[in-house]
Amino acid sequence: MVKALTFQRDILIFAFLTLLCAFLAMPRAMAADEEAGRVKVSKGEVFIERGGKRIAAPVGTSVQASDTVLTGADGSVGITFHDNSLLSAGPNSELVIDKFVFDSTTHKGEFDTSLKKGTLAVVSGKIVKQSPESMRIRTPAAIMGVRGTEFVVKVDDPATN
Amino acid sequence: MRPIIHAPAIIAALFFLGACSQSTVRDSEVLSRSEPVQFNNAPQPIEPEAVQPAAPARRDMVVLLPKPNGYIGGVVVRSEGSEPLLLNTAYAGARIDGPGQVHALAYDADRARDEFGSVIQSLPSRPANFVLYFLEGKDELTPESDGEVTRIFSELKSRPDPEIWVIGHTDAVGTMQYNDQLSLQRAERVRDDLVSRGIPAESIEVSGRGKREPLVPTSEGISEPKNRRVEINVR
Repeated sequence: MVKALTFQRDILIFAFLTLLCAFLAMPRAMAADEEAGRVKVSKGEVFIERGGKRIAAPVGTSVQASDTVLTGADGSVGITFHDNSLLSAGPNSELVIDKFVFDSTTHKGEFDTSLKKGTLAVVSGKIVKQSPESMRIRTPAAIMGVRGTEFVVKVDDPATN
Repeated sequence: MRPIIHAPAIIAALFFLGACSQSTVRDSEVLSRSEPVQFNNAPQPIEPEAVQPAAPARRDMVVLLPKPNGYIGGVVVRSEGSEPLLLNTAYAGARIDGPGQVHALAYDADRARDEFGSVIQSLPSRPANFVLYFLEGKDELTPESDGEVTRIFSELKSRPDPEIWVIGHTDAVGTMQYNDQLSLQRAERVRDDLVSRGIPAESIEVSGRGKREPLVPTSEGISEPKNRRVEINVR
């Protein structure tokens, strides 16, 4: 009797956690496929990794949330986002667009990117003007909360130099 | 009867799945460079050398730049285990040597240009801003604003992959809902006009800001011609 009750409880917990996981995974899936910005500057080798595939990224290429933007030794890329934020990456860079959500009526949104390596220049846009620090840049050891500004970031890993 | 799977096992499995789907590169990178962990029950003699800090695992940098108009904003640098560091002066910087190791740095214009000039040069052109004004309560342009459209065309020609963002605004007469609709109508009216002059519809995005962003702040219910406008960003 006690064992049977324990088993029932186990099933309930399992069902609850499964639903929770499905719920947490949902926004990520819904965010895909929507254009967050466009490549406006593309010099040398510039690629986007999307869904396990690597595509060349000339001027005019759509950039989406969850894309990874890569540049070669001679490459650099500039992207204009839908809230007028500007990002550029220098040679040998790896930049992940983790999240881009923007409501063009209220200007509320969230913008998360990660610089894994290389250099990045940032000019913040309307999301930050509406809600400071809703744009965040992650590096391997820190998170930069953006309060409306221009700045540059470098991720330098001595182990690979 | 014994249940085959126990709750703790299920929870552990789900935690593992969760950890896999949201793995942080930071942790794995830091771990990969650390010394191998030794399992030894014998007490270890304390050696002073072992306490000395190792060479920094990283040298990540951030430097705040003044905007072309001189405005200086702010960036807050957060790293686990250290106080947040606010950068809010021109060329203020920080070096992050690893989690919790944030050091303030002072750059200047020359040093920033030497280290970051090439990435700054790769920034896209800043969006150009144009404003068109409307007759009260209508979606018709004032005569002066008709001429502005010509300047928008020359801006479009100067850019690679040009896009247009048309943003409608209203004054503070009427409800939020009424003004959201009116501002969108004004934006759509401008979009249709631009399309009829030969701009591809797919390169134009429209939105209505309603009365949220007045050019001239007024009290509720005040009619203000300068707020009845459509802003055009060319980017």
